Amino acid sequence: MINIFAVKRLAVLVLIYFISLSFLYAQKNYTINGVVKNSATSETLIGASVKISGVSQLGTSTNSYGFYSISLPEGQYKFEVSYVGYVTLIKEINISANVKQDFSLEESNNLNEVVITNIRRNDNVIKAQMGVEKLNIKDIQNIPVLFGEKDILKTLQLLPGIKSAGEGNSGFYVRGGSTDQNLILLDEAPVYNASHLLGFFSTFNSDAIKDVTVYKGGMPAQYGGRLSSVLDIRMNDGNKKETTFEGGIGLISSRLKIEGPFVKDKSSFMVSGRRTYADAFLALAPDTSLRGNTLYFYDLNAKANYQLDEKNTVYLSGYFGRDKLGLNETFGFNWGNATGTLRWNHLFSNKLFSNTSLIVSKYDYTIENLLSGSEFKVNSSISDFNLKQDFNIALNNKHELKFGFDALHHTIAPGQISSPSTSSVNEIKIETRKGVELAAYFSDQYNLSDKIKLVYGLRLSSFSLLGGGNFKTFDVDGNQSSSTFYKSSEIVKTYINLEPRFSASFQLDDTKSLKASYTRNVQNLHLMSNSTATSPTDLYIMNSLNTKPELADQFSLGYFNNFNDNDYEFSAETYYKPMQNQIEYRNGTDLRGNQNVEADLIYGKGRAYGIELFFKKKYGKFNGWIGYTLSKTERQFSQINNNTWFAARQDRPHDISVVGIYKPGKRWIFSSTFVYSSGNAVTFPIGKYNLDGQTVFYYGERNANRTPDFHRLDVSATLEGKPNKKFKSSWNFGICNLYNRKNPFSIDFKDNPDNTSQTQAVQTSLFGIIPSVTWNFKF
Amino acid sequence: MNNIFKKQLILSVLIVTVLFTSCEKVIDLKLNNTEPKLVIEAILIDLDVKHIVSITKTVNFDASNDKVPVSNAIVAIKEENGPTIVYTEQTPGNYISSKYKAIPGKKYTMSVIVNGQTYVATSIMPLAVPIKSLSQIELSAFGETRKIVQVNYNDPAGIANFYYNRVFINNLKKERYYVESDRFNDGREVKNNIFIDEPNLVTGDKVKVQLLTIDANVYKYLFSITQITGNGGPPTTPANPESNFNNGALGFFSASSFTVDSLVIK
Repeated sequence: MINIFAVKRLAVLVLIYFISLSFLYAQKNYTINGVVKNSATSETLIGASVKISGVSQLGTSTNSYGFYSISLPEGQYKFEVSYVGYVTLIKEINISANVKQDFSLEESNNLNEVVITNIRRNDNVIKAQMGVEKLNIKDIQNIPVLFGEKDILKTLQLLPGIKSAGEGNSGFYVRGGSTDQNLILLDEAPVYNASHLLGFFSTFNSDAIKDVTVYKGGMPAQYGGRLSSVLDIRMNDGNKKETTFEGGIGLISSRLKIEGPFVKDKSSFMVSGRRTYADAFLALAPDTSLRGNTLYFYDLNAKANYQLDEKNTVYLSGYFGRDKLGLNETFGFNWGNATGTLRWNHLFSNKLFSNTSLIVSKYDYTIENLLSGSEFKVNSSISDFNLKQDFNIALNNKHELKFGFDALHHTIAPGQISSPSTSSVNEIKIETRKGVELAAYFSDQYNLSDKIKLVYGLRLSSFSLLGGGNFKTFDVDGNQSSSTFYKSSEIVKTYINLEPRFSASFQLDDTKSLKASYTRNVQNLHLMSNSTATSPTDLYIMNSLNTKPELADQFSLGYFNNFNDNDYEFSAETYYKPMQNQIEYRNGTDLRGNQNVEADLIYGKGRAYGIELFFKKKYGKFNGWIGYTLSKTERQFSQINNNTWFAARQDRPHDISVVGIYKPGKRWIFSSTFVYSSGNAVTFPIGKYNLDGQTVFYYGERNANRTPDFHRLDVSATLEGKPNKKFKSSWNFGICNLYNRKNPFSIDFKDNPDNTSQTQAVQTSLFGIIPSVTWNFKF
Repeated sequence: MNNIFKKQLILSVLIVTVLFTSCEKVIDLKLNNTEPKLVIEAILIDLDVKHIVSITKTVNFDASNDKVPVSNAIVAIKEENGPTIVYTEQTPGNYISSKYKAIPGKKYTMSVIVNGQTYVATSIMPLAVPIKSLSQIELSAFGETRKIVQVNYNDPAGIANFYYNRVFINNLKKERYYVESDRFNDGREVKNNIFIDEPNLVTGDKVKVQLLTIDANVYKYLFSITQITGNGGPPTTPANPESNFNNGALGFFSASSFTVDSLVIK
């Protein structure tokens, strides 16, 4: 908790500092600004590099809306505009007044860059930002994945520091954080459950995605709310030149995308859908009892934009996705996310860019039991309303400022059980919780000298729990110690936190640099799960009288080195991340319809540290990367393992991923991925006993054991149709788990069915070798 | 209510089998061992019968499942404001009381002395809730029709009740703790579905259900074990449940009301 006056004084100091900055550099400067876009579709390009040739210090990259702005003294400049997968544009411009200049880049047919790209050939070395990766959506389809369902979350997990939460699981761990400590934003809207089909696929249909950026550390100050990472996903705006169709037919699902202009060059739309059809096969089953079952998911992404004039553009985007499972006339289960984002880009001046966003997001699930006599329905949801205001100012060629505020209202309805009067199940409603997160931030990207670049910023965030109901406190043993009623909208408790964000790079020479960063992150929403796998029914809770915000401080140091004219890239990043107010369930907690879930929570500490080595070949016929992470992630709770540090669920000491992509000619692309990781930290029995006729296992210390190592090799081949035709098609063939490795999904202990006087350990593996084929088209 | 989560699990398993070629294999793990722990299993019921207490020790994972009895223990039970009954060891590790009828609502304290160490547990016998009847229903899912037994009883309103269904198939006790709480059906006519598999029920099977009311501690002990094995939903991080015996003994002492019914599967 911090003194509110100290915060005010700080704000005033910051303001004075920036006013003085603009005086200091108040020489005769002109501004050049505009957008960078794809020449064929007018789709804006995020993170495209705009630099002045020969001056490493002068340059910027486009923001999330493709907008850039640079201030320069009068003169003649050679602009170099580049973006991965596009031909670099070089243009001479004479600056003698403020200029509005858009750049259109042409897609290069000869895509020799790898999926994970850096904006500029040596950007990774120069920029102060560290712990960041961008995915190039266009190339994701070349990386082999389960059933050929290209998946951004699965591809991300091939990067060092980002680990899968388990086979067939879209959840991921970043630098020792749990799955709920990732801020997943789709067009700025938080997505609360990013997985389909109990975790086998992610909710992001990559057809609809333009840009993916993930921050593992050094998070910029405009992001807040989660401890471990930010995954910023932006949808396509839609082709502004012509209407196009794109789709694919795969083993599991089919996809279709339509995009085109409403008004040419001014306004466009994009609609993209995907649906699985495992249940279509069920309908054809000879056994009639199979036919009444449902099992599918769908995703629908839609976006439209309109450029009102040179200074104003509005965007409307939405996502709707749902999973439906059902056993005929006995049971139904469905869950899904819906998000909506309305945005207004406004140019106050050629230096000051503003974006205002109104965002809604909802995640909910319904379980229905239709068994006669015990019919009931469970509903649970979390919904957000969010207003965000962001400003960008390219103050001068040394300072680029970002500042803004964020107001976010959460409603969590943990569960409501409704039932008909004929049912033996009672109606139960667990109190709805409401909370507001308010945050203000600023950050400055400061080019201190040719060699030293800084990004520093501060985020002031608050969380207020709002009334409407009884709020209880519990002692350390989980016994209720007080209960107070609060009226609707009355503030129950407020937490305020200051989150400093700092990154710096020191360039040793053109190809080498050292970087350092420190960030503090705060998390006010917590996902509670006591199971060993993630489930759609996992419960979100807010800060409360008992639960405090989770805090993480991350210190990291990195060495970046490019070789052979930036063809090869090497980086080593180390991090140390202590975490406070981590949450676990007490042993044996029953989560179903739990009215007092907080009575069953315990609080402790966490720490994660490690080193990530990354070696990448970026260009040429053969490219790819090798990532290796050596890390340790631990937790400490007074109620677990006698208060000693123990390996967290996410702890996997060694993690290796190798990705190779080979393009021998114009039409074939071969690729392969190999992953290896240490086994998961789990708890195994150290004894057993018989209790009332059943064998019961006596367990040792929490997570003191390891499952067998995990490794897998996937391969794929893509055959592109003949180029230069209007109708483009391609075939993708893949084999997942080529050498049929039986990786452990779970290990159970049970009596030996052949000899009931003995027990045995039984390992379940999800899949062996799985082939896939997908046909994609575009016209 | 357990059932719905059980079904979620069944469903997940079905999805996995429909979509994937999942497989199981027995693996060899090097498991650690521990000093043997004392295990006490004691049920006291509201019938005028001889009650049994079983005292054993834990064994290593790779040892035989056979019970390792603990002999020469001193076992006694004390009824609140009532008599104390001393048990005698009849066979190794099995201690038997004289005929005695426990009473719902009363608090019982059991003490067990082994090698000079005393282990004490208390249990208040919940109100009696008799089985009204057993019935049979069928559930079809993914091409399979399963026969399910329903246990019917009236849950007393306004108080928390917990139940332990001891299920016998053809006079063999099913190795599963079918425990229930009334959190979702307090005061209702309960039709509790008992899912039986490995093997599934078939026509002609004789199903016997003993319905024991249990207190919250015993419920939690047994429920925690079912959660680890995934019987009550997705498997949880394993941990040892907390016994109502003190001094580190495992097992439980339950004073329970008791009724029994049976049916033959049609």
